[in-house]
Amino acid sequence: MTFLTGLLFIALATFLGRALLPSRQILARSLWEELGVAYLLGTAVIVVVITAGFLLGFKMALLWWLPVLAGAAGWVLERQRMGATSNLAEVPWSRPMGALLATLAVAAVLTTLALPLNEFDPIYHFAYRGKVLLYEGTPLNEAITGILSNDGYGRLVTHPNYPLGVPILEAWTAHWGGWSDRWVQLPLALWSACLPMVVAFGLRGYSKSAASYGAVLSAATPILYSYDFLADGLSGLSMAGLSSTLTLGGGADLAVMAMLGVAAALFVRARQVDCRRTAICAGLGLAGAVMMKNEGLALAGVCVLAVLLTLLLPPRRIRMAIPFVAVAMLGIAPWLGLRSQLPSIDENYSAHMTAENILHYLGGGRELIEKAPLAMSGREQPDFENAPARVGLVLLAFWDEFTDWRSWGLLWLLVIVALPVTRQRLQDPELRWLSLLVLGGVGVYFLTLLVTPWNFPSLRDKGIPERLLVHLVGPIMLMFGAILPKKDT
Amino acid sequence: MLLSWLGRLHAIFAAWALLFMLSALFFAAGSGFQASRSRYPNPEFISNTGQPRFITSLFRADDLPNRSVLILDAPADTPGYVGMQPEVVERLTMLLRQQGMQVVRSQGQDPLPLAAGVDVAVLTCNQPSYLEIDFQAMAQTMGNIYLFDYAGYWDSAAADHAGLLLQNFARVFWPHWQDPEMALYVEHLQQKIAPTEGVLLVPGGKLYTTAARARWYLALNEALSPRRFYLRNPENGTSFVTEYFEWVQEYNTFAPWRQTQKVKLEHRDFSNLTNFTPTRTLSADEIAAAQSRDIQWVLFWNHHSDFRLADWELVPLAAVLSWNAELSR
Repeated sequence: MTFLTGLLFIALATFLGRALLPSRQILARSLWEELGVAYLLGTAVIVVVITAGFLLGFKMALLWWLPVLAGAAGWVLERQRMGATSNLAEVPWSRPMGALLATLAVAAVLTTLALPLNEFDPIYHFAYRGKVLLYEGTPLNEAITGILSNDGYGRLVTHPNYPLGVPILEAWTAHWGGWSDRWVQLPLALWSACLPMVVAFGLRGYSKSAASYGAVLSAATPILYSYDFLADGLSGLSMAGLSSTLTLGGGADLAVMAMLGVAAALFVRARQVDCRRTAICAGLGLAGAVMMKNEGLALAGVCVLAVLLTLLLPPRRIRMAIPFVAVAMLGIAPWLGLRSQLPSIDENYSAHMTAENILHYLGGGRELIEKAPLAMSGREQPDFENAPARVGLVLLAFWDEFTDWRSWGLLWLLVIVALPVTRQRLQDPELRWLSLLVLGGVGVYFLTLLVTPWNFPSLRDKGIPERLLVHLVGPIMLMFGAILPKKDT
Repeated sequence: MLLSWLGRLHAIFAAWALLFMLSALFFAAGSGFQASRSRYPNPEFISNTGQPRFITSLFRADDLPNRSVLILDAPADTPGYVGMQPEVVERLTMLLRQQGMQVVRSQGQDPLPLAAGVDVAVLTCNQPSYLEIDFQAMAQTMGNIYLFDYAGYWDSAAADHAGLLLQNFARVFWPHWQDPEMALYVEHLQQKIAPTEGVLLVPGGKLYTTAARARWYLALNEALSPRRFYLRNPENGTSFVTEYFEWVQEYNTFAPWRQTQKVKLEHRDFSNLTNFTPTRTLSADEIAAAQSRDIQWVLFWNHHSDFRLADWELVPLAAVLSWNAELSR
């Protein structure tokens, strides 16, 4: 039953997303692009609305019905609007490319579902809070808020003020059939499958070849599925899907990637076809990214700033920027209201992001070696005199990632080569804000890791910064596709 | 032109991604689409350390010459041998003897006759006669209760049932949520604790490890949701691994067990090891925390990187409070 409920969610979210999108006459798309964009858009709206529902005091049992009603209404509206004619555009890719995309998408879904939840973050950060929503109906419950108390005793919860997007999707899926560590991942299994469709959709306005190219390059990026595969040699083959280097599954990094990707793709198209409804959809997608992980909020800030900076030069198209930013902020606001009522015990990066801190570390401030696990467990004495500068460690980590072909293919080399071309073509306003978003995203993550109150090498062991940089794959691919020659091939 | 070529080269990584996913699916299918522990690396690395300190720490230093260890090993050229490197077994033997302990090595022979009167038996390899050992017979033969598994083959629950305390060093290579004894204990707690009930988590004494995998309370809290678990200073205990170290340090400094008395149980809730209980009375602080909340149970535990059934004891709060009342008279 949980499996069927998961399928029902996918259908409802897609119906809702399709109904929200402008007609195909206004916003041309192929069936696959439409399904990918609609699923992510519908999912974004559902998690935004349910989060707002929690803030208003409603419980999951009641909020569960909203996607059902909205999805059903979306299905009826869509049938009325489209009638018998499909008006679908042709897929931009050739048949072999389509087969490759389909193979990768199906493999990604199956790999996600091949094992029950089997990683620390998916189990403790997300599934636990999913169970709280399922059993208690709201995050404003002692199961989460009770971690802090006056007498020092309290409930156990990791990252209590993390956004609720993934837990909402899991709790929704478990509503009828009960909790299943395998099937609650069903709505989460589509992030990597959807991103190439979304990129193709975003680049359709440039050319069919750009759309096809962008989709294939997105799907071919290894970190959409895992990172560091076979880094320890062929013996790692039998560990495929088992180790903590899996990005597919019950985590939230691909969710942020997919949501930021759909927001960026929709906003590119909104500006190209001058459609405010599409810009509103883009704003909802951006709010959806914020619902998935704390980093989504930082990226939303960077995205809004990038769009606003783009307005400094013509063509400005303020008509699109205002609804995009306004709807994103409106969608994010309930989460900020809810978050203010949840305990903040760790990952409070904004408190550390001070000019003083940044200048200290940029000026050679040393790594917090006394915070290293061996030092803290008393197994090693910190050697303060020889402690390395934090900035060097962080720069090295980023460089290691940019040159790690196992995780990224040639993606970062493409970015490095593409940026000068982007600079030459700044008359294209889409390239302006996309490149600002990519550079700003990398910059924000760099600064975040520069001032982290934790031992940076320990974070490095946990897959940082690669698990953060993956959030930017969508805008990177849109930027890359946008600088390709515009004529169709 | 350069971008187009780089793009084409990047597209080739689709094959890399497919290789990963097909491997993941193939091996998942091979283990029944479950995260089987058999797929995790062989625990040779831990075995290679061969440190005797875990064994010697069981006894007083001046008593070590009176203690004996049986090492269950086999010649490395035995067909199908998997286990500790022979030189590591040699080193372990030498170090134990240097500490004054008596060491017997089975070298592939039937271990039962050799186990007579020994304090500790150490499994180092996958010899079939060792894996199929009769724990009940071992318990009757051995002079003490300690088993050490450096190879990862013995069943801790079966050993516990026979009254033997098995410590599995191989398990640290598996994610802690896959520990078979923990899964067994979760099933037990699901039967005992109603979904609406609350449990106070109380370490039985000093916390001797900062191993991150010893945070069993995280796994129990998640697996047994919606049952309510309460811990002292949970904001550090549940945070990043370095904050957890602070939690261990803080708990050991606070040391509530110093204000309490150990309680030995004649009948245990799940484990068969009556000489090895984590139970104690509660400190005033713990009593206040339990009584100010809707708590029905106290779950005592010894903080350890391996989930041993003997380390855990679930007791009704009322019973624990009665211990406090009796012992304070």
